[in-house]
Amino acid sequence: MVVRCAVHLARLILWLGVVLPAAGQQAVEISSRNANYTIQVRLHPETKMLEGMEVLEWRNTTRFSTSELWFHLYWNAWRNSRSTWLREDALRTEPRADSLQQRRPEDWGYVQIEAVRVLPGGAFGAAELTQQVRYESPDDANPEDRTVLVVPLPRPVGPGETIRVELVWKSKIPRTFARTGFRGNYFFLAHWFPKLGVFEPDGTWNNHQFHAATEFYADYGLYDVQITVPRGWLVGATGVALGVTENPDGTATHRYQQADVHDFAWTTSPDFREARRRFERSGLPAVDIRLLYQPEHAGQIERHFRAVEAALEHYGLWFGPYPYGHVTVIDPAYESGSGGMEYPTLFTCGTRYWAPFGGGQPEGVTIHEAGHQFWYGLVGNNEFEHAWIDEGLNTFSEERVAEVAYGQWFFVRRFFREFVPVWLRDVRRSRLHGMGLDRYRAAARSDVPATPTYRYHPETASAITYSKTALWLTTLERMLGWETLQRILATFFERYRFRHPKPEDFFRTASEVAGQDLTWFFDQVFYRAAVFDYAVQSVASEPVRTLGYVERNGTLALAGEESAREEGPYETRVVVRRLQDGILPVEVLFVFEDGERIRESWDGRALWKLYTFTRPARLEYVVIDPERKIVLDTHYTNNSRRLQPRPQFVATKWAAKWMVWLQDFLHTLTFLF
Amino acid sequence: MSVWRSFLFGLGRVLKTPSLLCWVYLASLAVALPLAMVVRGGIAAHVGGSLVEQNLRTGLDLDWYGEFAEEASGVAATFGPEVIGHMALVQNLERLLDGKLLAAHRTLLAAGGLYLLFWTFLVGGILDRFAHPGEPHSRARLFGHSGEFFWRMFRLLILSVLFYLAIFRFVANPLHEFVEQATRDVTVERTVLLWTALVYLLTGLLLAGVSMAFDYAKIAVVVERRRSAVLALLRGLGFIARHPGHTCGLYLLLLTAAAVVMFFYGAIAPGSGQSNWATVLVAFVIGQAYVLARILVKLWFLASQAILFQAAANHPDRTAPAAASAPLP
Repeated sequence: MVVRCAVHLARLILWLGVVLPAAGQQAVEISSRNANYTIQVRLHPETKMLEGMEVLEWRNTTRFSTSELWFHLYWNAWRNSRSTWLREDALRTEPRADSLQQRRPEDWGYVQIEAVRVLPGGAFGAAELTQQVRYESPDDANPEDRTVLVVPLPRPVGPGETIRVELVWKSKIPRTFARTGFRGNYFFLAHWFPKLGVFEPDGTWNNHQFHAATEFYADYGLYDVQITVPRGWLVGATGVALGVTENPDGTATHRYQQADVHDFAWTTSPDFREARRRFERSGLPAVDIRLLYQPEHAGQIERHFRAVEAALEHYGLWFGPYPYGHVTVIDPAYESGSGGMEYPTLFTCGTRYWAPFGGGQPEGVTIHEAGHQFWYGLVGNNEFEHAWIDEGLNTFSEERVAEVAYGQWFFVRRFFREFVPVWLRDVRRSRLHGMGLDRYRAAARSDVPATPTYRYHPETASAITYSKTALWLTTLERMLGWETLQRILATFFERYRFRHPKPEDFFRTASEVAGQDLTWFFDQVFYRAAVFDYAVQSVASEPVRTLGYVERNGTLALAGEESAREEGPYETRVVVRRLQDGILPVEVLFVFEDGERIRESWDGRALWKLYTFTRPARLEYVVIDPERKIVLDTHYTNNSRRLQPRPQFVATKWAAKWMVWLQDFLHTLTFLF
Repeated sequence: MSVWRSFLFGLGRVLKTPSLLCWVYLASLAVALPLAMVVRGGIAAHVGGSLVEQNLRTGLDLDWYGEFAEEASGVAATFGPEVIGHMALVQNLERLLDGKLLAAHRTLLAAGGLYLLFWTFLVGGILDRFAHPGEPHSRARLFGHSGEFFWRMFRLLILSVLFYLAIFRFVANPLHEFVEQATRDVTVERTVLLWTALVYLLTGLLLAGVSMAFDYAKIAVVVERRRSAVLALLRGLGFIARHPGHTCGLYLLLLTAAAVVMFFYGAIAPGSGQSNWATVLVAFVIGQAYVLARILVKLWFLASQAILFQAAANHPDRTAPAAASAPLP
């Protein structure tokens, strides 16, 4: 009872801390709130321009002084094709849907700083810094990259000191890059303002350039943003709407505010429709869900709400409550390229005009992005360097929620330029499939996960960041049990909520909660690009027979007079192999024809191991890792072997189907003649 | 001869000549079966003694399929979930309407080429049979006429493929590209879907038009003993131009019959769950029945159009003298 009261009290404090400031009142601070922004921005839809002015109030929370402020100017990644983002993006062999050559002049984007000045206050006097700013490229020394702006200060900001800086800028909104930009009169504006990097406890700025394979990292703070758009356009944004002022020039200014978040995104369009739902579950704080949807998706409103609620419920119960009390869900415009992305208290999902229920769209992406409110929004890891923490944990969580809430999705393929979905209800996608086992298999050696994410190869980054992490978390789940893994994740969530955890924080938490040192596990899955593949190499089970000499009555005699008996006993010999360099302990199950089952543990270190048994019956089959705990095993088909292989039936069955398909193809060809 | 009578009499002629159905079916089997055996071998080799076999009995294990797809080579690499049930039809239809029939896996393309050659060889004999139902028929006559008309038909085939490629090179693909560019600021999927559907409709109409023209060209080659593929094609086009209502009406009816066959099979096509030999056999028989039905419809096209051509062009139901060039109506 006492514990329950304490939990409710803690939740109440959390709620008060996050929600009330949003309503304009200052309450308990639950994050560092050391990077606070007051921004005014105006959208010019005809010219696709933004005009903005921000006041950043930054408090130095470290033990070190700094004489500079480092900012991200993300949109300069699309100023021209020489930026680091676009150079890296060009490494993908899969071409962009919209090639750069096809881009029109108005499709590029940039941000131009027009003024930078220190505002008077505290120890600082007013100072004009516009002429002193410079660009840096700390990651690759690319002189043409303009995504990092350094502002030298007239005097250092000491530990605990606060500085207020005003920036005035103009931006050209790109046709969507990295889920940001416009299509027609739909605008999605993310990482759109000059945004401060993170001054780390070691006294250095963590302010990477914008890379093709990475996302964001920032300190928590209070955002107070006034957005001016044409009157009548709906706005969705991070935080809570505090009001709308109609201006005489035909525009309207919307004010949004949110505390204890590390980013602010917004969207606007005259076409949005709005729906609301209140999420209420026993033991969890209520959440007001606001859905801005496309009119043609009106029939999918309920599906969106249900998916958001499934995420809020299961993430809330498994890891910890969602404290903000509200979330805005954006159903993006068709082909806007902005779908499937998370921002604090706001996220985009994505669906199609024809989206069969059970095929996983829009539910999967909606759960995933809602889940990011926990892994990313609340636990704010550095996505430039350790994107696996939020993406991997979230992919794992998403697939688990989807399975619990919906079961397995069925197989869907879209035809005719992807407009027409066709599905097979009896072909189901497993959780591993959803996590991207195939993608991981193809990219298993592409990068060591411990490498900073921004150095991953852009083409395979997601296979390591999302898939591999989700898969080894599944292995942990199957090794330790869901209850233990859930406690690990919940503890990690509780400890690092509103903070910036590093990989070691997760590993330490995992070992501590599991009650065992899991270093060996993380060495294999995180600090190396090891590939796991255990296989049955050979199986034999024959009547016991001895040839040559045997000891009989104290003397050596030739064996073999008595022939082996078909009714047994039988000698079974099985050779199992480790085909790759990844090493994890594994179980091997032997099942005999009389039903006897023998389970052996193998440390999996040697390149091969021989198992020999003498039993009354022949071996029926052997399976390495019968519960499929090592889901990183890239080839599970070779993990088992029957003594008497019988693939003919399934091979015939599937080849027969293939043949009908081929015959249909042949007859379709005759349409030519 | 009315459209309906051509349509119904055409079916009658096809049903009265089941041997033609058998020959075409055997050609399809001769091409498909050896390749199916290769695919069977590929699947069997990959599954081997693995217990994954249990999952594949009751359905398609996508985790297994991922491994298989990565390791499969040759024609076995074309195996995938798309071969199941109605999805197979949709995929092939998409290939047709996206101009990707000739962009298939090279083994499939080779198989398709071989089958087209079989078909090109047989079509002369088949049309002869349909054009002259009253005359005595034999296997020798079927193959004799097939051989006689083969090179003319082959030249028509080349022309037909060129037309097919031209439709996509100069019309369909540019139109799709145009729609993409014209709708780059459209935020409503339904709008883009509508425009794309219109392009598909236009593509389908063009393909149907070309198919119809070549059908009548083939008929002209046999009925009028034309030697020039170009003139035969012009004859076919001219015939359509002179009888647009009848030719298009008949084609529409025949197309409807084909659509009914495909729709019906799509509705009953077995899924992935056959777990014993009996159900596998039933699924296979249903599949082969569908193949037979498609061949029947293909023959029905030729038979009905031959009847219409002969009636409208006032041709007698007999082959014109080989020596004399048939007079153009």
